[in-house]
Amino acid sequence: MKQRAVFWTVLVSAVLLLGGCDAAHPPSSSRLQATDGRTYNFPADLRGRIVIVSFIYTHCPDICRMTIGHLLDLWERVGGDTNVVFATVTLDPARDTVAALRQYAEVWGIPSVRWLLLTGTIAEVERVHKAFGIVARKSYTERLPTGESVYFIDHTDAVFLLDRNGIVRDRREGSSLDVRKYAQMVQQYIRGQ
Amino acid sequence: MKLIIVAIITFVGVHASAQVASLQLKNGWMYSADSGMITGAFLTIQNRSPQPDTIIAAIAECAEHTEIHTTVRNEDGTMGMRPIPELIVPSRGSLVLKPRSLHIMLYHLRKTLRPGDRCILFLRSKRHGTLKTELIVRR
Repeated sequence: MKQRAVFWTVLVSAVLLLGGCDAAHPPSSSRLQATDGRTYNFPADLRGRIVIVSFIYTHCPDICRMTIGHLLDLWERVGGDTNVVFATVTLDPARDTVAALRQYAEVWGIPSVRWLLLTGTIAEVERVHKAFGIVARKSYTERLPTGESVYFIDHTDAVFLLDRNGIVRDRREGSSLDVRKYAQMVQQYIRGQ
Repeated sequence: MKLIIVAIITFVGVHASAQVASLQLKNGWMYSADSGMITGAFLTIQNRSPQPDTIIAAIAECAEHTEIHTTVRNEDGTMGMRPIPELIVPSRGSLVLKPRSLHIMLYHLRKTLRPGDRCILFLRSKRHGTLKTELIVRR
């Protein structure tokens, strides 16, 4: 039994390390602006709570929409617990201003309490991406008939669970999240710490 | 706006009504989005005819520009989207456009669309002309 526990601990640690996260230490923090009007040293300022961290951009019509849809379902299961905070960081700081993120939150019905949408300077946001092992790079640019150019981003599809000490305890794809099972895991962390 | 309406009328004008019943668009829906934003639409294209067909263009009334896209997974594990020129619908079969896969990309919505709202989508096929369906907006 003990061997099995060690095996899983090693396996989870290896997966997190491969993804750019150190299983023993919290990801380094950056100064980001949130949709609640405050500036956070993210994710350090959220320690003390279970944090569900996700990455999206507002011009993303597919993968990010799936992720947000799953997270909204997750919110209905665990969002009422004040021990949990959702934090969604932009993949596209050049276009996703705080105002753009607020508008996005309104369209999607994302709660304004304990669900932060975060952006910042390109350098600060890229530091967060690096800390979580997130890749985000411009892919192709569409030239519309109006002459306007719209670019898209190839990006990592990942959702993270941070424990109360800010340490990454789980990383998995957000767009294919099994919400029921994930909610059970979140509740275990709420009860267990 | 006038240009768009003319484009849609032209698009619909190539209608091959006798054959339309053998190529049907079903279960169309799209994600909600604000005016001016980009969003995705999804549906099932059912082909009852003995020949495959090809969807070569799309126009949505609610968007300034419409394209056929697919979602790709790159070698490094990142996800992204790419435009594709056409969709092949198999004979006596269906093609399902769904999240994380094939989809219709709607650029710059003409107005904010919330769950329950609707948008007309036209698809043009090589063998069956232009088909029309209604997309229902979801969260």
